Amino acid sequence: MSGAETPIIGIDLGTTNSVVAVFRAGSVEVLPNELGESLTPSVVALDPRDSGVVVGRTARELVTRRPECGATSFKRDMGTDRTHGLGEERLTATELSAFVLKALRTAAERALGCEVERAVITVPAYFGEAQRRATLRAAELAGLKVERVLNEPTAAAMAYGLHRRAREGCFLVFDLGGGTFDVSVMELFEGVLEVRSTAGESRLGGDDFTAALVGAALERLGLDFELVEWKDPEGFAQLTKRCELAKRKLVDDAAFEIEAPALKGFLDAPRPVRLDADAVAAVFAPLLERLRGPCRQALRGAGLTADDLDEVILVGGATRLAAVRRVARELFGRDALDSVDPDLIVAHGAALQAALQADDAAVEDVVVTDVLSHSLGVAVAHEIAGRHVDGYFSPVIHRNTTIPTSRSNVYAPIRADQTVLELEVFEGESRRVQDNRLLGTLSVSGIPRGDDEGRRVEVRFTYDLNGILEVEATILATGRVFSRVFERSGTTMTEAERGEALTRLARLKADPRDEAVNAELIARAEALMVEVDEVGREALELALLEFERAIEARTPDLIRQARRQLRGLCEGIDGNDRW
Amino acid sequence: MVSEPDPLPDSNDPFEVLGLEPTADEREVRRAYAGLARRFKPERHPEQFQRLRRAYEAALDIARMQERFNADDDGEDEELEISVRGRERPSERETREIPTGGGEPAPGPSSVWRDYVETGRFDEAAERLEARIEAEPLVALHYLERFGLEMRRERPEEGMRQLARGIVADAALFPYVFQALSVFDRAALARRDEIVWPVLRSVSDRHGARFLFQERIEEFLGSGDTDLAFEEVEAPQFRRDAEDDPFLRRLAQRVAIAGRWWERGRAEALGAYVFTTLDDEYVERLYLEKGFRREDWRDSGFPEALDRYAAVYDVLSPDGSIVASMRFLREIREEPGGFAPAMRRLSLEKGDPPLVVDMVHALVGQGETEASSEAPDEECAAELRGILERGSWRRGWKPRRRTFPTRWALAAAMGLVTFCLIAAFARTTSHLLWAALLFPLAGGLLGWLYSRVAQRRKKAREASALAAGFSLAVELLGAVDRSPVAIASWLRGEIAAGRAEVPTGAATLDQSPAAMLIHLLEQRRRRLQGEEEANGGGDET
Repeated sequence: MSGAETPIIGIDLGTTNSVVAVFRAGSVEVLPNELGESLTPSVVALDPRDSGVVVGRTARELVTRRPECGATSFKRDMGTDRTHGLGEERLTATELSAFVLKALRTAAERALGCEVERAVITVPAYFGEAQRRATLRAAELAGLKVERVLNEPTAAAMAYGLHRRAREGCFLVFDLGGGTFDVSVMELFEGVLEVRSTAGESRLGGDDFTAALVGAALERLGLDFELVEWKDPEGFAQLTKRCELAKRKLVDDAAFEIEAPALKGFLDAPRPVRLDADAVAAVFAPLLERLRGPCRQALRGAGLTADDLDEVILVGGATRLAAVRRVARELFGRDALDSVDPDLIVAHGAALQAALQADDAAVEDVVVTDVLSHSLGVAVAHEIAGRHVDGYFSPVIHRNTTIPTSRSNVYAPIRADQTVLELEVFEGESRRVQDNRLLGTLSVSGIPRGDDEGRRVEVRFTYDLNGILEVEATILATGRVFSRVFERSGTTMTEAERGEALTRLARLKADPRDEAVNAELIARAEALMVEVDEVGREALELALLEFERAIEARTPDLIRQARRQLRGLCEGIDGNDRW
Repeated sequence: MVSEPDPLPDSNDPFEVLGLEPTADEREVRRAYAGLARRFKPERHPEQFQRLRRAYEAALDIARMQERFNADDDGEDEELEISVRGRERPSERETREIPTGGGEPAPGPSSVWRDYVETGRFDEAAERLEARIEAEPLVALHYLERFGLEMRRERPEEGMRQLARGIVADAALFPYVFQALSVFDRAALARRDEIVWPVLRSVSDRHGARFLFQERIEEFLGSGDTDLAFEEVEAPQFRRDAEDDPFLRRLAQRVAIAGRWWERGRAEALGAYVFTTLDDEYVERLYLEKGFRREDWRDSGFPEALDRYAAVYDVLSPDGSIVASMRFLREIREEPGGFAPAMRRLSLEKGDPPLVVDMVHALVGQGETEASSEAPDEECAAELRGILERGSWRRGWKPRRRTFPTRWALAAAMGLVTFCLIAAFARTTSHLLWAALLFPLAGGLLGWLYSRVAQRRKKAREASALAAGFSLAVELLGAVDRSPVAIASWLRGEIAAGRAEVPTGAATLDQSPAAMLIHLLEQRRRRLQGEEEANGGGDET
């Protein structure tokens, strides 16, 4: 392999903390940073004294004191154009991540005593294309060549599964980090670690639990969350820190106790705040509720029930919370495994993957396969009540398909005189493209006029391990091929995101023809559609279309009938739940 | 440096790719995959890995299905009848879960299935599908529909039976019955009595969905499968059930009418069928399915709606006859004088008597319209005579032009009268002069006016002559049994004029006018057909 002389490092780029590790001499070694610590807080700040950028614990301390100087939890904004204030500067999450990666690289170089150019970086499994793209750009900015973008739960499973290779079976990785939540169902057999399904939420993590506590504390004090955050950011940051620390102590069902700092203009002197166990439970309840969906979804995606699981692995610092553990126990009916350090396990996995990439003999016979976390497809129009209604999503590669993969569908133009097909490539699970993310478009022209047979266009999606999506459209009649590679370095996202926001706004306009009952049912079915596998999705799609046609046609009988049918289908799906 | 492994065998058979016997079980498949995956890691050999993965998923599915099959091989031999009489087993319906595919342990994502189809191994695909039918009829049905039935040629019965059972038992599947039926038709026409018919019957009984029968027939006609439509109503099951089901009887009648129109083309046959239905509810339903909204229907009224319907269904014959006929036919019901005058008017306006006759017959047969019992013989005889006098019922017949310039004679007479009137009241010569000037003017004006009127009348006459066709005359006279004498005399005239031949081998004219008539009708049809072919249909426009 070219460049085999420089080691490949594994990086866990987390929301709150980042870790770098390397596979050396047959085992994984976590590389300490300049402070001698394994965990480097993912915080970037601009030191107001010398205008230098500081990363890690230093920056975290700085930010606690001077919130306007730095940025935290920016991983949640990966792939968006939201900027964070760093003193006078405003930087995107990508740029901020680049600072963290650079710091990790420096740390690794010092620890290894050689130059480091290549890395395996982990991302939450539920990261979409834009977020992965942004991560890659950050690495590029940090001067790292990314050998592989690895899903965090997969990394965790590798680290977990590969050092007890004798064990076979299915296990679930429950990864609740600082800002993201991932659930992956894995199967280990014959030395092959196979990801069966993955689900998650890219904006749910320990930070949210902390914020909930901050909110509850302020409520106890009779203060307004937003007002305090705005008027006294320093005091607020202090409060957040105290809440965060107190939260970490909430391992058992203890009461939550902090001393709220003095808040300028709100609180003259520090005052103790106490929430008893019940109050804490009430504060966490809505967040805990959000953990259930992805778990269900992942199990369903793998075609398993909780009983089929051999083990449940908890990953991520937030899984230390007693409340989270309780939910996990409730969901899976067993105590989760927590013998591995939940903060470091992902980096371990990344290092293992790095060794795989480098063809390290020690991991020679290990095979790990991963899946696509979001369906990829194109926008299509369906015929409803004689008209073509566009904005529907037609998946080409379904999520939870093992990658690399290549799949194709055949599409045809709507109108007889149409010679150009504008393929809009989307990512997501919603049946309407407006709720999915636009990745880009591919224009196919020169479609012959004439009968349907000759006008069909085969659209092939090829998705490789590095997350590069190639879309290839072939006009079947003429054999002409159009293709576009959706590379992660593309910068088309800004406009697309803006378009998405506009669509969202447009959607807010109430549609008068939707009666509450019908709207509710459609929403329910569409929500379910995100959960079920592709077979169920197609069944739902059929029933939904039928229902929409009936609504469009405004025939009470047809509507009633279609509604009955759709509701039956939904109940059939919900009813399968064991939770 | 890692040495390149030998590539995977180039085969579409998943087991061959994995280097296994087709009988391999799940464990063996997994082991083979794991071994090969080590050689073809996704990082190093993405292409080969993809092939391996496909083969693995396919083989795994087959192996699992095999196991499932072996596991529940026993029993399951109950006859379809049990669930066809589904009302006796309500519990089945209640306990059935709507399939989602997710809760099932064995079958994987359907992408595997797709891969099957791509590899062309339909046998396995069919088996796999069958394994899912009972547990997940909706899913199975969906695939059946999606991939057509090629793969089911081999062994359709059992799967059909199972699917039928599922459909009958499960109310949620009701909207898909039609899809299923079309699948059955393609696959197992021979088994229709056993599979399709019971499903149709029981579903329709249970859900009150009589229109299923209609839609089915219409689909046959619409797709050009008139034979299927015929077979359907001729089938023993259908006939048996039709004995005590007026609905089915009417359906059979309509098919018969459609059949007669078949030679004119698909659209006409379908149109004849649809329009003899005359069932608001049904037609409306079709509208809705074809994308017309209730508002359109309400705002524009039935005739326009029909026009639209015809346009959608492509049943508009070149002159729009069927749609227009339909409109008139609806009026017949309300026409005070009974069907004979209405039909006559209709035939005049339409110029298409056979269709009209057919349709009126159908209506009478259905009790939709009363046949006028006050024997219109008198009137009809006159009509017939008129037709005979005008010479021919044949198409393209043009009435003789009047040679005498009546209108000019009339104009002159009128002018003269005007002149006389003015002269009678005239007191001065200047008045007379004025009259002399006005005379040609008035004459010309009147002549022009008359010619307008005459032209209109001539057109009407031509139309009526064209329209009053042979069949109409026959029908008006009561055809076969009401006025044999009139027909006989007419036939004699036809033969004498050399327009018809004495059929050989038939009974003599006087003995059996009916037989003769039938023969002649046949002759006419053939001749018309010949003419049309010769003209290349040009006279239709």
